[in-house]
Amino acid sequence: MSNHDSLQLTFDKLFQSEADAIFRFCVLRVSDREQARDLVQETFVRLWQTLQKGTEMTNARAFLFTVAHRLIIDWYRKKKAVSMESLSDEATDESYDPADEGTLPDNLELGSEGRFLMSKIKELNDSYRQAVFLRYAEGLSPPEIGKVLGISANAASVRVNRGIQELRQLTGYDIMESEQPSPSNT
Amino acid sequence: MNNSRFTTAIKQLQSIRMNPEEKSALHASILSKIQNKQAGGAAEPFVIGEAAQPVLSPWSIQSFREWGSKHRIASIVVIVLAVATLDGARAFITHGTLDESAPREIQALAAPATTAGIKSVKTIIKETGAAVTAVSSVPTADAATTSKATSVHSPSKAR
Repeated sequence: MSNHDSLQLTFDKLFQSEADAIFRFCVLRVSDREQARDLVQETFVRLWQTLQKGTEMTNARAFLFTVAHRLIIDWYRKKKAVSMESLSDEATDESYDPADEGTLPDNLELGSEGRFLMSKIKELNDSYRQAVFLRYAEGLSPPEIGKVLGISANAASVRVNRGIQELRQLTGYDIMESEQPSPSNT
Repeated sequence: MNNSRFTTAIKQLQSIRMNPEEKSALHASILSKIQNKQAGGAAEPFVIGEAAQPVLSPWSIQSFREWGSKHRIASIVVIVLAVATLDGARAFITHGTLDESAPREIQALAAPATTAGIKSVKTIIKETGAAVTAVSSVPTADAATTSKATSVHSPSKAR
């Protein structure tokens, strides 16, 4: 098997196993199905480029979520810049504010309980939101969440725990500390 | 009880995914984009040829056949366009001929099979100068069960 064939095989396997999780991560944050597909596309193009360079990748799943997370932030920055430019010719503020992440898309096929939970996750403190989602919806470990969010594993663990405490109060769910989230691998 | 609600909610969240046609089209689109970047990232058309085949989902082929049968047309030409965009290239699928008489309804049929899939083919061509890179004939006769993709020998500007 040639290097290219091997690369293609690895890429295809990762696409099949992870594309839906990355799509879910994106669509729940940008609230636009088409935009989410574009972000998934760019995420996997970056994966290909990294694999092609022969860079050792110990955790492709964490890599994909990390790239997608950064692309989403970039997308919001650009969107904000364009939006502000349309109002004024003055210098624009390109900072990303997690609060900009809007509501769930109406046309998203999601049960009422899932929609309720996601709406409450969006109400969480900004720094807890992604940590809780990645831990419980995607089954990422604290070290993996740390990589995605650019923080230490300990800090990720703290965010998950505090986020869950806040989520309990918001939802009334009795989320058990010992509960082991299962990876969503779709 | 409440923990059960949490579990249900998580399972519902995890059920969000792309539909198979959407996922297949996205996969093909990514490979096309990669191929284009490897070729230097220029707006030159890339030949998809046989690679166009997986892009044609069973759903879209069935739609083409039904439309062709209804209008007593023996076969429909499916054309894959390489469209240069600011962030690279995407593959769009369309069908029918590219002349003025191409019916609008058949253009609409292609929309779900594309990644962007909103603009009409003629608009895409006009705005981007897209080039036809592959042609696939989808037979509509009952006896025909397969479609065949062939590369265009010499990619030509559509307009």
